[in-house]
Amino acid sequence: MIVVFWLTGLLFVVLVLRDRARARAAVEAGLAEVQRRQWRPPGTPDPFADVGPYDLARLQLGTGHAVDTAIVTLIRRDVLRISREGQVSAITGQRAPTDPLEQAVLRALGRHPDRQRPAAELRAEVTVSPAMADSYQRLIDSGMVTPGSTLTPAHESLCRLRDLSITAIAVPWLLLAVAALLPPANWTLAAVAMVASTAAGTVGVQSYLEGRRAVERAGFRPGWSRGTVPADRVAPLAQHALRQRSGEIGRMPAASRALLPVGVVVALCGLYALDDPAIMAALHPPMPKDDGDENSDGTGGGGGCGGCGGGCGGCGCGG
Amino acid sequence: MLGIGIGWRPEIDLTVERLPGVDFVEVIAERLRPPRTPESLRLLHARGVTVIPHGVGLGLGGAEPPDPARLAHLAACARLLGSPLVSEHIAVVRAGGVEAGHLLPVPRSRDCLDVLVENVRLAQAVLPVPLALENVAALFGWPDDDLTEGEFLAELVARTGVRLLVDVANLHTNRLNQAVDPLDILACLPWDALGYVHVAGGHHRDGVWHDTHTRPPSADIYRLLGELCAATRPPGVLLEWDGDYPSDEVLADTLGQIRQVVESTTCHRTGPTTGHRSRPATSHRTGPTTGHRSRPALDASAAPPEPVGSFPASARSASPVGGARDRLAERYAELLRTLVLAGPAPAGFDVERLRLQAEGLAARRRRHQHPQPS
Repeated sequence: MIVVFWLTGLLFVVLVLRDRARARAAVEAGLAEVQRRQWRPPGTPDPFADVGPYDLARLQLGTGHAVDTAIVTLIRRDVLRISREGQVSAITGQRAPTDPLEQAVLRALGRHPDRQRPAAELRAEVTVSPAMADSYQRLIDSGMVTPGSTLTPAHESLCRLRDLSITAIAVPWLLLAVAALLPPANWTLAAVAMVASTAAGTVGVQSYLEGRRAVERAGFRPGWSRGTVPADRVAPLAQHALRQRSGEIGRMPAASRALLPVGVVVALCGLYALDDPAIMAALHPPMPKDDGDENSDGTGGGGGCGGCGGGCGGCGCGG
Repeated sequence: MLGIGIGWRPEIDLTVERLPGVDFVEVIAERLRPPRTPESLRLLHARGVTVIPHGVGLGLGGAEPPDPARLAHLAACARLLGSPLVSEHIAVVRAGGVEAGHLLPVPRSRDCLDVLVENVRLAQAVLPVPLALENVAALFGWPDDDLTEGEFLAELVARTGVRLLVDVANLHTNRLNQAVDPLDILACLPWDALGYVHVAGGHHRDGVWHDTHTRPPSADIYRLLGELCAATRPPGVLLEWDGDYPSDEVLADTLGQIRQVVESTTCHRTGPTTGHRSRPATSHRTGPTTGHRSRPALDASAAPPEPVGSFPASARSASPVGGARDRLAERYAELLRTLVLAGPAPAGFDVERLRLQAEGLAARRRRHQHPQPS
């Protein structure tokens, strides 16, 4: 029996120490990769000069907002029309747009005989279009978005370390409970093995918590259960630049703001910046209270998150 | 005066609200659900824009008396919107239990006129405001007309006091499709009864003109509008557009062109809407088109459609035009069987035109549940 205690304790100590080392290495490697990928703003007055408005909208409020921004831009360009009931329709005789996301909107409309569809239906279809997937890839390539998968190895190592550590603490105590029913033996030796295993488990848990905090400090808020993938994350400098730029636009006089492309204004400041409540309500009709928060998955986009200046931060870029 | 207007459709409600120079709008009555008023119409009404319910399903030209429920609906729409008048079509839309799905022309026979006169009187007795009736566009004509279209309309007005909604695009359509000179029709019309005017665009296909309401009016249609305006000053001219909507700019330009034609060619005759010579005894309404800037508030409590009046089966035989109704019912049923159920063409009709009409109806039925304005 004593041998079993010793072997178990030794095994847990070895495994915990090994996984602890692995987890640390994975976390360090993951965070280094995150740092390496991250976007740095160019030294120009407008840090987003090279970023399209729909990619900006996606960064700011998610894929739904990117589609809304495209719809609003096309409405202002007399390519689309929206009714108070939220029916988006194509205007006859207009030139086809060149932007892939705008083309995706028109394609989604074109699949219907009268070339008109409810805004919500259109949004749902275009958010999963190839144009949106391309936008996601562009944001990742530029470093504005770090995919959560960068930290998947670290996440998995930490989860494994946590599970093992808890086992290392719990199992010897269970064994002890069983051994108490058996004839007396050298319990001092058994207690030493137990304490060693518990200590190793405690160190493991501590290392897990440290690693988790390091990942969270880097801006990732993953679910900490096995099998989940950490959420994507907007680069901190991009978030900062988004807040700054939207604040600048928000503070502009209406006349100056009107000179900016409508897509950029709406992308950064939300639909409120349109100053057209009818179009905003048509795109996002009031929902019955019982329906809850439609944007809780981070893809809804929403209508504005309080307008410019406050900055909504990066939210779910979706995948 | 109504001024210059445009057909309000849900798809272009925001556009219509924001178009400059819209004095009045027309809404398809069958799309309204009193007492609910679309937000857009409420806003327009609050701004002093006159809203006229335009029915497309009453079928006053049919052999049957008008459906009380449909009449009650039209009346409820007029009350709800504070409208100075309502409009409908001189058309048959159903017969023998078959729905055409669109507005079909009526024969200009004595029988038909007698039945139409009685139907109009029945409608006038129920409606709280004057009724204006529109001439329809036709792909085919009836083989044995007793009257010209001008004579038919003039006599209808004389016997009922109904107002006229003259659709110049439909006159143009009939000119191209049936070689009817619209100027002959205009020359016969009693201008005092003119309620307002419709203008719309269409296009040629399969050798005939289709009044689709999906294009700007052609130069010929503007010229015809000019001819009408030279004869009288229309209380209102309304642009109809029912699909393939263009940009706001094109709609605004079209309205501007209509205004230009009206203003440059209008004959300054006395206003048309008062004291028509043969107002029927059942009429109990005031002149429709004056003072529309100070209208009553929307009647949100307008009762939902209720059957008002009834036309029991016995009424048909008791009616002084009962025999005419029977004869007309038979002819309509035969025509509808041809157009909707692929039956044999009745004698005297242009078979090729009936075929085109049948195809058109089938296409419409596929797209819409209800007939669209013409």
